[in-house]
Amino acid sequence: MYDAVVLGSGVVGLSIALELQSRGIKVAIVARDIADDSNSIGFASPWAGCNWFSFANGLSDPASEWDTITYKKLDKVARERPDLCEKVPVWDVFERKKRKEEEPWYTDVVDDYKDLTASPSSPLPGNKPYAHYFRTWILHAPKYTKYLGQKARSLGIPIIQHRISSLDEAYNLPPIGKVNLVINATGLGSRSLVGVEDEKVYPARGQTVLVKAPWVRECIFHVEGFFAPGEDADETAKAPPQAAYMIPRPGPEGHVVLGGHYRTNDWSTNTDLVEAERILKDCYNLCPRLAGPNGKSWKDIEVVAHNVGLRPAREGGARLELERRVIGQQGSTNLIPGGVSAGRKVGVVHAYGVGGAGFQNSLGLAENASDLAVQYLKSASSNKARL
Amino acid sequence: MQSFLGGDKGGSSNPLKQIGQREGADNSLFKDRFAPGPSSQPSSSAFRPHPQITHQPPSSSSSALHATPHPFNLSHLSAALSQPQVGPQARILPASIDHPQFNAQWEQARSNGHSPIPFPQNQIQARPPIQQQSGWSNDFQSFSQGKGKGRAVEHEQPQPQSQVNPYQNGYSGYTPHYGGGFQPMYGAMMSQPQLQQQPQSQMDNQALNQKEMDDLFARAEEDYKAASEKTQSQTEQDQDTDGIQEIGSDPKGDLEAVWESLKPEAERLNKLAEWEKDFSQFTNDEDDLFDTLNESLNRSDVGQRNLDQQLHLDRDVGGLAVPDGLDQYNGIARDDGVPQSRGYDYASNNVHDSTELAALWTEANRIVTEGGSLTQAGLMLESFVRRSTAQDRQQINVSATEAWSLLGRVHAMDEKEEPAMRAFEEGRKSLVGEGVRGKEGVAGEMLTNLAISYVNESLDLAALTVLHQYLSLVHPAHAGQAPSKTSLGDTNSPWALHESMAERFLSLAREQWQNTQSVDPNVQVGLGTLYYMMDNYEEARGCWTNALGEKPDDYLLWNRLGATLANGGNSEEAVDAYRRALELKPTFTRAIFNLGVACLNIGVYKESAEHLLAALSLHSNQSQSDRDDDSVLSSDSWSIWSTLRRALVALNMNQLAGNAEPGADLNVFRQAGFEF
Repeated sequence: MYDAVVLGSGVVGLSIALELQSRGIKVAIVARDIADDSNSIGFASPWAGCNWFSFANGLSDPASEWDTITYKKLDKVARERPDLCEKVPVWDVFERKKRKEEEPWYTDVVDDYKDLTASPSSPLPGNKPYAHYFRTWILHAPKYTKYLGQKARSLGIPIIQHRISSLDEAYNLPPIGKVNLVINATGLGSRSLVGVEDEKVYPARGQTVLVKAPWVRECIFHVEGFFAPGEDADETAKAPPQAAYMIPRPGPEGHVVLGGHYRTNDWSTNTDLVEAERILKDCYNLCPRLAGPNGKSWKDIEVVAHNVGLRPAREGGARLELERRVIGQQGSTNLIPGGVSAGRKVGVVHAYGVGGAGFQNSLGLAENASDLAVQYLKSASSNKARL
Repeated sequence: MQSFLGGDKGGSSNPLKQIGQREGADNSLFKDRFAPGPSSQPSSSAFRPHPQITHQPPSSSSSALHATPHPFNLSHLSAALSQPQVGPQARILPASIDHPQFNAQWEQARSNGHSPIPFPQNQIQARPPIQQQSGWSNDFQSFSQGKGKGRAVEHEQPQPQSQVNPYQNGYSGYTPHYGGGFQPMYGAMMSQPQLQQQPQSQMDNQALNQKEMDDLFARAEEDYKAASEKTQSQTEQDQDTDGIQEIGSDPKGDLEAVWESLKPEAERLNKLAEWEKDFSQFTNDEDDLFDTLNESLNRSDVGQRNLDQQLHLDRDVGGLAVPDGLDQYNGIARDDGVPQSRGYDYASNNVHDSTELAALWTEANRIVTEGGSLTQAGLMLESFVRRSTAQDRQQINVSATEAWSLLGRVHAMDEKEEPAMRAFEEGRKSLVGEGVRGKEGVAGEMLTNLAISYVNESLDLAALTVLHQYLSLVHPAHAGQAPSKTSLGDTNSPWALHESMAERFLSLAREQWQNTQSVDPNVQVGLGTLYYMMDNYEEARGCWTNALGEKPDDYLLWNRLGATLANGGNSEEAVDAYRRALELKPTFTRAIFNLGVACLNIGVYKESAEHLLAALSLHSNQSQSDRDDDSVLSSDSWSIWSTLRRALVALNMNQLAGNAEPGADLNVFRQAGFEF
């Protein structure tokens, strides 16, 4: 009954499913963690402090295309759902003056980009000497994820909560039936899903503090050196350079997500209060207003929750790729649950490993992943004549 | 191929269609698949050029068309695409060949060891301009369109002499076109003969007038004789004139070429030793040839009909969709790979339930042999198998096995694999109950057909099990051990079961040849199915052509040949085989579906969509009957819808694609410019 199954209902899986549906392709979503269930720790999407702040490494990075598309498309989301998506100013502040060639690739993509230098009359956040300024999108991550899930359901896309252990199973799940195409948006799951087993996938632990600060409606980032941890650093002693950021959430609650934690290959989902304190201090230094009009120190910031999420990162960046494969090539077919017919030639579009860029990648990634899906669906290998 | 793709200039021309027209091949019946029939509206659609006056284009360009007379190779025809058309209204409308003649020639050819010759040299038809069509024709046209069934059934008749002298125009009006002459309308018109002298006045006749048909047929044959004499002499006169010979010979060439393509295979029949050689080569070449695993495990879900309902239910609940059964689905796989059948799902309120059984059986068989709505035939047979007692069947000398087998075949032809499998499975039960004695032929046909259904569903182990059952029932000396999941576990090669089964079929074929110098089509079909499963399309093709050597009019075999060519990467060649199947059986839904798939793979998406819509329109007749269970209907057609969506997505018609699902109104697609 379906043309494809999407594995994963994070922001990437949901966005791809919706994009495919909009192109007339019938999809079903199968996921271990469901978008609405925002308490699932196995799930990165709802925990993100969420804005458009591209990590793409220049225009040669495919993520720059995804991010560009997403930046443009979020305009429509903001018009439909201002409670989920809104455009705010962002300052990316730093100590060391950047060379011209270090200018971000997206200066022409975003609104109002400016390269700023502090002066006594116009200081920059955290009293840093330099900043890149532009206007960007913020998203309410848990609500946006839920919204995507509801939209999918309202369009008739079933979201089926089910844990699978191998990619092969996805081609013949009883409630869905036989499909020849699977979209693998399993994120970290791609590390262990039999048939994918991508060892380049690793968790990048994130921890955020959700605070109430209705008077802060801008993003401030201090992530100098954050994305390029030194190769020769004393790894046992040092975490990556400490970063801090704050991202307000759209909506009436006046919530702001404070973050700056990025620890690779740490699977712990327990809150690290020492790290939480560090984040609060650093963010307070960037923006004392977080503590309110009468706040005296970081201790006056009103904490709402501590959250931990595992970013589904991948060495070399996200994988977006169409793979043609044959069912039952791994090990004994007897191990595959259910009635999977070995030997069937099928396709999979891999779309995982976005790390912390899931939201800003999502709409562009969905477009490109759907192009690959269509390419497969109209190819001869997926359209067999019948004897 | 390049010019194929390049031929679509701004969507204003349709490469395949032009091929169909320019090829000058025998496609008169098929033209509703490739070229507009006279019932097409003279619309301005770029995709259906006006089918008006046709004449023989005495252009030298035409000779180029036939320089490479390989029968299944359309690629040489692609050259034609770049050539200017002779005139806006001109096209070649080749004649058709009637069965008796074809058979006779085939037989003759076979006995002579060379190709059949005596087809009329001049088979170019001049179709009367639309204005000259009979009132019947117009009525038919409005009727069929009014019923929302634009897919033209060939309704060309032997033209009354008074209308146009066919011979003067080179019209070889000898034939009541296959299907054409006898082709009942789908649906309501199903029992009406179309070969009528005053058709309009007889439109309301419900009963098939066999006598009249016979008379007309006889007359048509006379016409043919006269036509061939005339055209032959005419052709001799015309031999020297430019271009005519090539044009004239091509329609013959179509069949001749088909025969040529079979000949090498036929010759191979005399060299069974070569089979062994091939086979050993084939088994030694595992790395290349067996890139497909073949185990099929338990499929408890095959046969789940209420998937749709399930999911709708989930939507209604609005909560997380956690369908029942998901957790219980790691069930114990059946060792023989055959999916658990929950029995046959009958349509409720079958309109045929009040018809007398013997008449029902006769009529269903008539439709299957002569043509008509397969969906209706399926309903008739359903009613028959459900209501008839052993005594009833005995009176008309029909076994339950035979009835189930025919029902399964009708469903498979109608591109409804799942009901087909269920019917065949019921037939398999009956066969065990009734015993195989005296039913070897039926058993062979049914079991090979069932194996093929399983292969289509990638249930290889089930297919092997059924093929083994065929051997053990009909040729027990060759049966050997039954394949099973367990036995598969004993071997290192996942293909061991296929190889072993193929070996048994080969040794059987060898023995049959040594003993009786004959080829058993069922054995060839079994063997072809095995090769096909192993992706050995070359060998499979050989088996189909061997079987076609015995049964040249078997449209199922032509379709299988086509599907094998297509899945082996030769969609263009496959098209010719499908066309042959459709010439023999214009309402052969599966061949129409396959044609749509071939067009999709060739990259002519609009054409593809139109074929698929035509296939769906054959199914949609069903809804006019009293099948009230939508989910049954839906699951019957879903694979066609799914392929249609792909064609529409390829055309960037996303919204339309989104609407392309079971239950959709086909008129939406007509309004979008698709003609079918």
